[in-house]
Amino acid sequence: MVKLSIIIPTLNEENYIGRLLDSIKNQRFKDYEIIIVDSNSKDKTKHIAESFKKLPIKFLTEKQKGIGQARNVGASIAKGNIFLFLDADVVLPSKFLRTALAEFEERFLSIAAVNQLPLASDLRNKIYHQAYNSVTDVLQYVYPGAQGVCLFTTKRLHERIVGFDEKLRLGEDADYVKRASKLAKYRKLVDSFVYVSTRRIDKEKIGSLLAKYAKCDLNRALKKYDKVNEIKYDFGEH
Amino acid sequence: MVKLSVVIPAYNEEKYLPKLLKSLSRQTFKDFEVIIADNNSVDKTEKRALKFRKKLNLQVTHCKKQGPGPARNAGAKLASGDYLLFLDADVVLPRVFIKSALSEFESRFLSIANCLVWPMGKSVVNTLLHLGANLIMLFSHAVKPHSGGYCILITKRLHERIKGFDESMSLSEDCDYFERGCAIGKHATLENTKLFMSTRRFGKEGKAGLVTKALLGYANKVICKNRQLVDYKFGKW
Repeated sequence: MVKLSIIIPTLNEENYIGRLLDSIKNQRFKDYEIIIVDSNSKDKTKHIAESFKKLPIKFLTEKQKGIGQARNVGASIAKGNIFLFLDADVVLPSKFLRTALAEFEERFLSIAAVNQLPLASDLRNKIYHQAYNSVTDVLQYVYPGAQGVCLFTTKRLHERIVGFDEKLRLGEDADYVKRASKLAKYRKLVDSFVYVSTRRIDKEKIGSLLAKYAKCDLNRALKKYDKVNEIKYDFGEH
Repeated sequence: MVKLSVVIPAYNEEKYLPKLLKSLSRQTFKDFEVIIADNNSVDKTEKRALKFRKKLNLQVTHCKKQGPGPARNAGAKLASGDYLLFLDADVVLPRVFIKSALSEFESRFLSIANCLVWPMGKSVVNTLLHLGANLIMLFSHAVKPHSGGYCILITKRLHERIKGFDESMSLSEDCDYFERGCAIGKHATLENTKLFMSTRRFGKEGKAGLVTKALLGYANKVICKNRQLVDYKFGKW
């Protein structure tokens, strides 16, 4: 029995997945399994993942394209008591797993998000990410909701809320955290952070990205799922 | 390995303890053990308790250090369950108590909880007083969690994390424990269940006296952080 199941949904992630797996390989904490749920990538994602022969990776190929669904499929075969959902464009700092898990257990959390720092070093990106971190630091108490970029949760809680809502093509992560935090204790970890790529911000103007998030949250709150799914935001490109 | 360990501190409880043990032996849920932490009793507490060994998975341990805090800690040390239920000797449980308490505890993802309490007997005044106590308990979760030690359900993991009861406190060690537990784990008052408590506290001190003490105690706690105003002896009320 492993302690932690790391679940990574992918779609054409050849540029990123290698870096993430490298950073997992360098962790001192070893009691984990990795489950990659690939939505039939056309690039070398699988090839790259399989080149990490020493890592305990299970590679699943799925036809469907939903990110929530992919995470649920991964979770359904996961053996750990704690799940860590990661996006493919994340890089873990050294000692991340050990520090984050220690805090997760010490504070008796059932679900937790972490701060994000940009992989790019320009000032603009630093400011955006710092702002995001500060805003979510406050929101965690009043309006819980986090990105699926890096999310810890217990197996028991995941099963209790029946996983991610597969009807949502976007904002499924915020919805998941919101439902979970109604039942169990959710907090942001203070001792840990992850690096994320800046592809979301590079592709789009920050204003339009924020507008999308706002629109998504609003429609989700109103339960207008069709409108949420109309928003242009493709899995694998973000 | 059992699921739940019931820990009962006891000091000269020959009169009340058998009633509690009887109600424990009738629970619909059976996967629990009972640990009685005998606190230098000079009456037949232990002998009466041991009679229940046929019906219950029960053991008696002896705690020399006087006080419910040390006694509960000593009992908890022997516990093998994932959950601990601390009970006072003068309570009685309805048959479905453990079953519904555990299922609510788990389904609400709690780490520490107390429960609603009603008096034994039919006195209206007593009932009203307990209603008041229950309301304070329910609403205190939003301000400053407050609980007596007569019924605290907690995960063993959290008990160990907060290092048990503070053995240096002679009064409101239970409130202190509950508060420290609530600061870390998710907490609530269980709503689907209740227990019955003897009214001996009323008998000895008079209702007005006890209510004043209790209110003073809580106000004291909220306002000036645990400076002890009142003197209260274990097993003597």
